[in-house]
Amino acid sequence: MPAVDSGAQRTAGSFRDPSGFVFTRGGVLYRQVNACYRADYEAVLASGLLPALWERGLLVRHSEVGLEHAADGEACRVLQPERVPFISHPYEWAFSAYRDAALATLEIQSEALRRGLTLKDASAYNIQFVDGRPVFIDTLSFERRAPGTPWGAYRQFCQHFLAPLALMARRDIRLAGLMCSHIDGVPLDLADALLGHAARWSPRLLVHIHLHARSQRRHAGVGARTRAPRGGGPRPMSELALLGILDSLRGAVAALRWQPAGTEWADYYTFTNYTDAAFEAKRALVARFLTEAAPRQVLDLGANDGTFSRLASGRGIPTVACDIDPAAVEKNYLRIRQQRETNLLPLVMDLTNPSPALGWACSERASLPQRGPADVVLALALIHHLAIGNNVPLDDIAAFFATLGRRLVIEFVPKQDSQVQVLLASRKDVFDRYHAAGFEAAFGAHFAIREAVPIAGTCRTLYAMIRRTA
Amino acid sequence: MHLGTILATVRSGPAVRVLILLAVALPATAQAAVLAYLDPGTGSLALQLLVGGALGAALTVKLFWRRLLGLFGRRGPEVPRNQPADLPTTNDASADR
Repeated sequence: MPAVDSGAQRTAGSFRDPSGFVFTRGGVLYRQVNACYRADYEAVLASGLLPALWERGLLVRHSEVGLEHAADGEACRVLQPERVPFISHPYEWAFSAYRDAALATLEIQSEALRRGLTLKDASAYNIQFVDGRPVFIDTLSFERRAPGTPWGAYRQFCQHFLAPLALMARRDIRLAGLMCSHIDGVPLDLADALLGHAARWSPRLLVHIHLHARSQRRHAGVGARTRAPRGGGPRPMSELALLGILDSLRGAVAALRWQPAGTEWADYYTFTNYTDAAFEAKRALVARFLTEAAPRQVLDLGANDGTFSRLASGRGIPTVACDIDPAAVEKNYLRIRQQRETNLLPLVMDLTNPSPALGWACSERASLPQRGPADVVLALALIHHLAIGNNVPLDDIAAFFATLGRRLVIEFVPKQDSQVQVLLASRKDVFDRYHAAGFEAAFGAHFAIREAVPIAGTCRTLYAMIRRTA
Repeated sequence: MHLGTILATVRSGPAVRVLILLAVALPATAQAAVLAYLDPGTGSLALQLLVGGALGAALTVKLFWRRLLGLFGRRGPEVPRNQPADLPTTNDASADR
């Protein structure tokens, strides 16, 4: 591979496809189109696919810039895509977000087929969420479809979308975590084994998971032993057959539903420690801190259903709302979709075990801290869950939060709070330093405490802090 | 062969009846399972060639049926697009925080 221009920094996850790659230079994002992909890209341009997908909000927009911006001599064109506010990973998505991402991928493939093109890969990582909508980000994923050929990305679609969604809907929502342990999607034999009868009773899952897994085993190695017939003869796969497969996949995905019930926080929302007046007081305080900080992005940790995240996103600030509970994140996503809200991205995130760096050389998929820091981190009604619920020392929480954001709006929940009393009811109180002075000492080592305001009507205190290191 | 396979196939009509044959014709072996990790792609292509015709036919019938219903002033179920319309309402709940 030719040396990359010194000013260009290739994006770590962008190496699988020889058609091109993504890089940054001087903070600007570029996508290089390599000469080997020229014919396909020109066919894509001539087909009108890109404007059609842009029109429907299914593809990230880009402008074309001069070749002088290229990262190396392989380039035939250079694109400058619009930036996605925050890159998220499939195992962090709400169930319905994941389902929408799958349907969007199928819609894009249908649109491509109508123009004699096809998606050459169907990776879930090619979808990102912008303003509550799934957007395809890999502009170089299209190629001309040779008549009669099956869909080369069918396996990847089933592994990246159908299998995890079926497992989440038909077995357990927590099986989304399998996408974290399998970088190229859930192997179909594993999905088949875990789904059991669920993969036999649904005709579509029977075909696309169960028989698919069996076909993979049956034909394993055949590709190396035999040659596909070349030229002449009857075409093996019509466009109608391909559309039939797509329609069947669409039906399979659309039939998968998940109703949040019985998860950790699903019934938690009705139990609030606040009177209406106290809640409003806290709301006004957070809003004031946000106005003063004027952040470009906000990361809300333990965001629940996003009530406080909306104080930021409602001001036009791109906001990521993390919560450990898939039910809370699902409710948040559905509300965003229903109200057509913008600037808010809800993600499932266990802060005691945040998304790690994954993939080749541990650098293909960025960890949560690697995707930061945010201008402002919100940590409301969270500290007791980490310090007491998970035994994390306050110093360690402060150090970790300092990697996530430049400013911190954090609520201290003292031991006398009824929520903390619930946490302490089932464990020995070994938390001698868990008091306001201990909290201020621990966080004061990493942050300058600008304000500490008691929340009226509660025993809690809201702090505004600024990170000591730039 | 699983009972579920037979029942699902019978219920689904002729379009997928061919699946019974497939379920019988795809025996798994331990060696094949190992090779499947090296070459999962060939089986995926083979399955498409096998079921594509039936699923294409099913789509044709579905579209024909929808058009027929349209002639009589009824609309068939819409194919879900990018943003499915089936949105459950959510409570405007506030939490502990």
